[in-house]
Amino acid sequence: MSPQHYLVLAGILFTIGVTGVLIRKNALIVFMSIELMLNAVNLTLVTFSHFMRSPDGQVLVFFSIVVAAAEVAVGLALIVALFRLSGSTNLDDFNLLKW
Amino acid sequence: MTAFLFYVFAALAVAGGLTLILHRNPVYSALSLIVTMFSLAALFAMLDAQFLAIIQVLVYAGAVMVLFLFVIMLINVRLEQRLPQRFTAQTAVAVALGIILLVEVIQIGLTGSKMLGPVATELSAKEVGRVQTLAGLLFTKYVLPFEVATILLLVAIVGGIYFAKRKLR
Repeated sequence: MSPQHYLVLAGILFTIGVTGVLIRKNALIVFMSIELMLNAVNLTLVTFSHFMRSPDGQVLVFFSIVVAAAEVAVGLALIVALFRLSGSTNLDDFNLLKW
Repeated sequence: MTAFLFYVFAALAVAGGLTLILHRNPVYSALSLIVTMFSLAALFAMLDAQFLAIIQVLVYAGAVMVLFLFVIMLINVRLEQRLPQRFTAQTAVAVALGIILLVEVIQIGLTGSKMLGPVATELSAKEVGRVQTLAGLLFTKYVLPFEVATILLLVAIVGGIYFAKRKLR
């Protein structure tokens, strides 16, 4: 398979993630869409790493997975705290900072 | 055979992603994201990144998605289903922007082979993704980021406990 196949697939997945962030109101779904975007970028890195025979890209993906795991732990704790505060996960309800 | 497998897993990944953003029940969204993660793990394995394929299944499809499902079931399964799903102007604009972005990204992806640099090492394709190769790099060239990552994980643990326990009101 050529690199184009994998890159186009990664692009499609990234676009699905962006659209999910834009159209959904549920904070959890938006968060999962962000995870989907992270995964699409990881696929790009692995593709280039494979076709350039360079392991550095895969080390970068390893770190990206570590950071994503930490981000999920903190982000979900934030969502739980927000739910305790306002009783909702609808992003439109969180407008305390609105001018 | 490789092409067939690629198209099967690519279709599964895209279908999982679409179900994720279109389904109204968050539990189904989380389960479809697990399908996408598994398909990506299979694609990693096809790209000779065996170690990352296993890590993807263990960390993403295992730990991260279990955490997501746990929080979804803790919070709001019934709440979400009662919300009306309206087709607003925001949705229309978002879909239009998504289509524009899709065209751009596919254009860039199709010219991807021009962005490929020269072959960087003498490793064969099978050797690049092996644990030995990655561990060798991780503990020599990238040892500082590796140590920083441990501190990041500690901060994440402390932050998670702090936010989940504190009475915010």
